[in-house]
Amino acid sequence: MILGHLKTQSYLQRVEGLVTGSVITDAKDRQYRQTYAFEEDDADLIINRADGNGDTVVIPKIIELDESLVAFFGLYSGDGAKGSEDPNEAGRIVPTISFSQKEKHLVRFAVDQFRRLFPGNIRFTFSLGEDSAYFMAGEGENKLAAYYQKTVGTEIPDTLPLNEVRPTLNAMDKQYLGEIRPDVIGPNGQHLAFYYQHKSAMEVILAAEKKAELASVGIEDGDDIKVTASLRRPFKKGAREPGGSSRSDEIHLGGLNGVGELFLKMMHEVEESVLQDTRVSSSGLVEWIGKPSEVGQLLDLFDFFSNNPYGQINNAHPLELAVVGDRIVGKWRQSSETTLKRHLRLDPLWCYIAGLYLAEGSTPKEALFRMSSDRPGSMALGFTSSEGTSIELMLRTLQKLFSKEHCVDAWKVKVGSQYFPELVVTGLKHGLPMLRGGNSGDGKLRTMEISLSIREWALSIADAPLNGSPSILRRDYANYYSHVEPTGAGVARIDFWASSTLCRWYFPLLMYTVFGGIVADPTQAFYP
Amino acid sequence: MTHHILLPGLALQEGLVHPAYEQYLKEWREDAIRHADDGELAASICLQGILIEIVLFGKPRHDWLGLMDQFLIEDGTPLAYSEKYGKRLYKFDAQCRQSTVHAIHTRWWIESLNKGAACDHGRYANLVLAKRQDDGLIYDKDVSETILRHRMKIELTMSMAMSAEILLAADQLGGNTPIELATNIASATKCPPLGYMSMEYFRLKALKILGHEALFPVGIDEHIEACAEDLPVGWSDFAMKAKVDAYMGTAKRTQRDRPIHSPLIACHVSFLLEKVQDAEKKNSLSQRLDTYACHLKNNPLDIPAFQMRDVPIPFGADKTPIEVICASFLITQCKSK
Repeated sequence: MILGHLKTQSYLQRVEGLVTGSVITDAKDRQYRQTYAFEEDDADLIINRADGNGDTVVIPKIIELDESLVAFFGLYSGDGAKGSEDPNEAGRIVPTISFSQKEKHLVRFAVDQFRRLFPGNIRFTFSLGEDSAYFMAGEGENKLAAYYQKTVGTEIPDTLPLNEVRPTLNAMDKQYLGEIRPDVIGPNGQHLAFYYQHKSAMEVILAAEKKAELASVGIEDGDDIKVTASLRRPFKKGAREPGGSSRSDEIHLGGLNGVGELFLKMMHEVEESVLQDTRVSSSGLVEWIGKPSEVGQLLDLFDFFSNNPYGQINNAHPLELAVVGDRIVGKWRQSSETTLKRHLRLDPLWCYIAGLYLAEGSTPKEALFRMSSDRPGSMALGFTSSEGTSIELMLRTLQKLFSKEHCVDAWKVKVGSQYFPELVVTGLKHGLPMLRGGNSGDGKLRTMEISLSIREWALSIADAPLNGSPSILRRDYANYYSHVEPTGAGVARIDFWASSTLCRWYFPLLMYTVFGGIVADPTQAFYP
Repeated sequence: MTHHILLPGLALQEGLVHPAYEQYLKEWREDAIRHADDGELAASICLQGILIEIVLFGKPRHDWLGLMDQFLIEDGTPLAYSEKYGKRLYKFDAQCRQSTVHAIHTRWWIESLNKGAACDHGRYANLVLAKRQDDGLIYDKDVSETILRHRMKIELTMSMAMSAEILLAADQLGGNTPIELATNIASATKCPPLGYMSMEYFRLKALKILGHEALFPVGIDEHIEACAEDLPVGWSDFAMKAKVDAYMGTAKRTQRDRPIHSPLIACHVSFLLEKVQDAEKKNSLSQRLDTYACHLKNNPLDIPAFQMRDVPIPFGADKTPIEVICASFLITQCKSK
């Protein structure tokens, strides 16, 4: 269903080709701007950077926004690159369009949506990154052994001394050798030798694996498709023991050099108009067909969960389902009774968050794609973000479906190790040391005064995009704040979770929103 | 005159508070008393409440000890939080009943203040000695099971200093106990010198109480200088460039992180200055301390909170009773015009 339009031509004409915007991600407030020259070509625009650099890109004058494309912007908001800092201008980013996603169906979905947006000559490079420690034991070692057996008919050769496999060290090698990893057994030099000795073999293995994955969802090797593998030095990121994995899957787009600013603008205008519930976004780039909260398919959820192929889990509809006034009360096999609203509008908010949840939600993505026809296993509904807009939109979405007392079990603030010293000083200001929880310290912070000091920060973050109005987090869930969790890396972010019972109702609707127009029956294979 | 281990160099007495902070402290105290009347109480609040009363009125006025008797004792053991205070965090009930070294020290200090010689120091000494771990350090393993490597080092040194103070009062620092405790808290393996001002202050304080300050690690002057970097005045507790990934061993990206100065940390630095050997450096650091004191005199409300990178929302507290008492003290030390 068409929910609105991206009016690229009228927008570019109005701003005379100058696209600007600001983006706050990971608590970094930065700007982007680019000036474009453009000309008409039937239903499309041919655009270039006005300075003559970059690619020539074809883009429709008017792009229809349906559920899938809106969800794609949500997905990109979570998993997509926003850009890298311009070394020549502090506070400005140069956007590049690339995307991190491992789940193969979502990769195919993203590829299709990119092609819709940019119907010209775009190219995709799929890059699979892995810590080479993965190949030192377990599954990875078996793969390496199979490779050597197949190619040279031997076992994995013993690792040679570093000065033989890498006579000349570069700056990165020297830095690596100087790093200290208390948890890792063995000298850095030996690990580095393993890396260089088997680098080519490991790359071949990973590239073949990625190609097979892509082929299984219909993305075949071709002129516009390239697959590469990149190995990180052992234990460099994530993997802490031999055989440990720290896989990262990236999609880089070629042929779109210079158009990143326009793409980011589209995404931000979609998000902003959904947040403010305005028919036309502030710059006029996005025009919904009505007030966003009033457009979109209206689903009767009794009918959906009774008859729709998407309304199934493990090939079965809910065990019990009854209409009670303007609600329905239902129960899945081996689950608890849940009450949800009778009708749901798949409005832009719902669609955008469906994509964002696919990117940022705590649920394993593979489970979402197999749940229609298989036992999904344990599922959880949780969401983490450092941005108030994302938290607000996610909570609004859940409240569209469930009564507000069921949407949040509790919430906390996760703080990466980079900011532990700040937490310590916060405790000291109250005269206290900081006591951590859990064996490795990533449990509930024991020092309440520190957690309580951070609570108002989180609520203010949630309020920030709402121009003075209280956020849902503050209004409905301020008292559900549980603790600070010192954990991993990264800026402080808000993390909330809800009862797992809600998953069985929310996830089928989420999948229908994103894929309902693409795949008729999810109990059959997605993208066969 | 009264002293507290958190506030080095401060003689707590009536009239110490700068007028700019009086109203804040009065309101903070009223709010604390109102909540305490409802049983919503923490040891840290009792301590700050008494500190406020001493600097505002010259002596404790409210019956904080009585409140602690009612809400912060369980089977004779001091608690950090009352049951009702624990409800300020959702579903924290299982964690909020804690008897920490800090809670024991707070109870001991307040009781000593109220009862003088009648305070049973030995009872509190036994409580902290029960916290002594197999590694020879004293910390709250029963409250926080985190392994030594992942514990915040400020906890180790602060707990040791507080424990040593209690043990000294209880006359239980005989035999090899002082050197054993001192060796452990000076150990670079157990408690590496990381250059955090507060952590090093408590290490030095502990070693002094234990009679072994000669074991204090060398090189504090460089750390003090590093903690002043990127700050126009004062010191941060830590140097931004010292933020290193605990696992990766690599430097953290800190270009958008901003250090903050803190009156409390400046007091800790002031204490550490005696360990700066180079006279020129010491003089320079003393001048910086004076500049900071005078800055606070002219800008008493400049007690900032952290923020997350570019987002101008306070991340944690800015001024607290402890910060403004320290600021007031520093202001009295301003020598420049």
